[in-house]
Amino acid sequence: MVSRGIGVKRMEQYLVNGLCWGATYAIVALGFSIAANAGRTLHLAHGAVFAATGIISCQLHNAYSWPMPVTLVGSVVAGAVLSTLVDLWVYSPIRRRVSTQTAPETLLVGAIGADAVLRGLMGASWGSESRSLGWGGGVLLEVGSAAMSLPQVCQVAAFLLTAAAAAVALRTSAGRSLRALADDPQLLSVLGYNVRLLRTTAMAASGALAGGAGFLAASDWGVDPHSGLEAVLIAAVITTACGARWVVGPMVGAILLGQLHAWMGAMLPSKWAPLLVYSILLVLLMLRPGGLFVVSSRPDSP
Amino acid sequence: MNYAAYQLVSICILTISVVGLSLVVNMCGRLSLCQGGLFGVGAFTAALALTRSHVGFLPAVAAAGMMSGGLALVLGTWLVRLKKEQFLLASLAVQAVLFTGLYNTIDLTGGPSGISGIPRPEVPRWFVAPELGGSGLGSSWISSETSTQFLLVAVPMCLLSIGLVVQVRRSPFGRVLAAVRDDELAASALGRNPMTPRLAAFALSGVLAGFAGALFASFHTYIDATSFGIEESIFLVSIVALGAPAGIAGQIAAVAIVVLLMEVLKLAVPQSTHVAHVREVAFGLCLIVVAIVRTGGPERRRSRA
Amino acid sequence: MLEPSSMTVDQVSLDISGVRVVSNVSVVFPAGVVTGIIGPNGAGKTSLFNVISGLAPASHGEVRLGNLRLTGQPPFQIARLGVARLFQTPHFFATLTALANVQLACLRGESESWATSLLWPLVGSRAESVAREEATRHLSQLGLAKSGDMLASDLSFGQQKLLSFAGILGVRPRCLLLDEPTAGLSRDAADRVLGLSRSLAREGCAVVLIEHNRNAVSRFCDTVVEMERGRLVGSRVISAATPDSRAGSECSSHTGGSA
Repeated sequence: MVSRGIGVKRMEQYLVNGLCWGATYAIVALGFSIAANAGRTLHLAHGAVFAATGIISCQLHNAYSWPMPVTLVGSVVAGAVLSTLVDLWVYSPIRRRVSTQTAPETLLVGAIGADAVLRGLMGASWGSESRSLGWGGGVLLEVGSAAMSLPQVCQVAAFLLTAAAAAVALRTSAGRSLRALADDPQLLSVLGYNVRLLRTTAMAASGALAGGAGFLAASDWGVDPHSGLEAVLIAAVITTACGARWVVGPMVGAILLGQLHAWMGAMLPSKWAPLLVYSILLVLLMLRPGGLFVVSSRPDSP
Repeated sequence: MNYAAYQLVSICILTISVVGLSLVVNMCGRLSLCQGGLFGVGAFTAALALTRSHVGFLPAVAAAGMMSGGLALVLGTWLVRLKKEQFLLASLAVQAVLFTGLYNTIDLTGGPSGISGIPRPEVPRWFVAPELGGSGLGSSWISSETSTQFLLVAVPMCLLSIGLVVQVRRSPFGRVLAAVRDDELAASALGRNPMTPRLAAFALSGVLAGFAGALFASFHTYIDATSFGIEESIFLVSIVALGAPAGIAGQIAAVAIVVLLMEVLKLAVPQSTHVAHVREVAFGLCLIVVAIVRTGGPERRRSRA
Repeated sequence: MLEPSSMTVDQVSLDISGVRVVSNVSVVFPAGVVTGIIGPNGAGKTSLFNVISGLAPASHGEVRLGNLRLTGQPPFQIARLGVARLFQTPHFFATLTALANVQLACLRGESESWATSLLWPLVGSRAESVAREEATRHLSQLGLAKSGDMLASDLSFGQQKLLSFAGILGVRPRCLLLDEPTAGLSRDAADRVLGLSRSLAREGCAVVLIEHNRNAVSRFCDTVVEMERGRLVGSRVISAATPDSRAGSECSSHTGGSA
């Protein structure tokens, strides 16, 4: 997973590469956080959606010659659609059938299943090799002695746009109801909100974000069906480290993780770099046993 | 005859992994996605022991069990403290670490090329060719070259594993595991440390994964890291989930059904590369269906509303 | 039961999300005495219990059983030292029978290690049958004799509460924390539970009970303490002679944070 910036390894280049990598995964993490909070479960299939949209972007551009902006739109839409389908066909049926107390484990089982189905379909349809969108490989921007390619600039731009949009969206009434959904869905439904619609919308939004990130990843370092696993683990690292606060936490955390990733990538052979991320997650999980969600129940109740 | 024996061996190997995993999933109530990786660690330990150190089969199996079990024990001291969702995430991370580790330590595992030439265990000559008897013609033990001969090793190990897990479930240890799973707070209030039984169960599941890995390595005589990825873990979890409502017997039956279905799949899907993907989709769907259809069996906590 | 000891709460405070839910509470629950805790909802009564059982870490202060320091120990360790608790919503093992639930309480965890399980039933079945007899007895004491073989999850709410209490009898505690024991129980069942708590007190157990039912408090408690907004605001001894004890002797009055 080497970023396709200019090959001269200098400090600023690592900083820049890390920034762009972190920017892309910040978007993934935000989507994961939205889905996890709205659904009150680990949306493990999020990574698979990310990988799928990356591969779909490659198909649309490389095979069907769609222009780049349209491909981006297509990727975002595909992500929204896939996430919504997972919600409609997997999570919602489980919620309808099983009581809320046993739901958590069953939703996890369903999520694992959805992830497997998506990955299998990707592999069966398009094979297991890594694919990338070949565009904008040259230097677009020079920042100090580092160079940024067009995809990298897009990554940072997308990050800034997404952060701004999310910050704004949270203040709208839709954003507030999403937050309430994370806190107490039953109360929300009793107050007359259409909880199912809210949830599905949140899932669609998370998928759209995955789609954007998938496009960006495909533009830079390429994706394959297994990219999803790494993506969901990275998203989990970020959300666990920074808490599941909607915007600030995941975004800042991702940038920091990007730096760590870039520097480790410089010092270790690249095949070992993912190991670092996974190990960080394990360490974090030990240190923060409170987990992803705000636990409002008392210690002595079930 | 040999084809049936081959399937039976596969069933035996898979059963050992599955009943081991059921200790974690059903008795502890924790979804674990790292059983595939532990299975791989066992397989490579045995492979290395058999090819490089030239130890006997049983010592290799023991080494595999100790390696996977030991790893599970070490990881488990951390993992058992986690709540369900984080345990799942952590096990996913562990699986990723194990796979990356196995795939990339090329000196030990051969990376994509794997390890080949793993010897089969030796079985008594009289079992293989009874007419030769103890006539003194060479050694009384020969290598179990055919699947039927391998059954002599696989079946007892499988039965032993099943017996072990059944014994655990029925014993007071099993009962305290169930209690901790049902209501950790209540178990704590009765003075039981919730972590210790869980750790023991997790380590035991690792040992069984190691045994299965050793059998797998020896049977196929060639292994590489690609067999021990997340797909394998998901595969194992789905069999555990499929068979769980009917207890251990159900899970063993599920193994048998799945192995046979996979054979059918191989005939139906012409391209061998596609089989792995179709298998993944199939088991993903199984998990989804199981999750939706599950109305609540004896192992589920019931709503008190 | 281990020898009687009193439970000492020494200047305990508990903060949750920046809110001080228990504020500098100091109180002694003597052995052999039934102490009631009353107060409005949100006064911090259950939170105090959580600190004592080890489910919530005290931000300040110490809890001692006799001379043993409880604060900082894990909940299961505190339970082993003889502190038992009845929760507001009953906690039990849904997949075990009622009998097995109580049996588990009567056993102390002998023969529950993984190694012993390999030798079971050769090892440990005697302890099991002794525990089973004891469990059957306790179930009868709570009027659950006929429900022994039912799955605990199939019992009614009231029965589940009685089941939890049967478990407590099995544990034979030195200190018993009852959180609203009569809520959800019929008058008979409530009397049974409180009567059994009284006999545990007579054997030297320090019984503490949170109750909203003033009648129960005045009938069964020797002392009453009152909490409000996390603080201990009053305490009085109930004269055993008259049920109308509010006019009875005022022992001492604590206000605010004074020790």
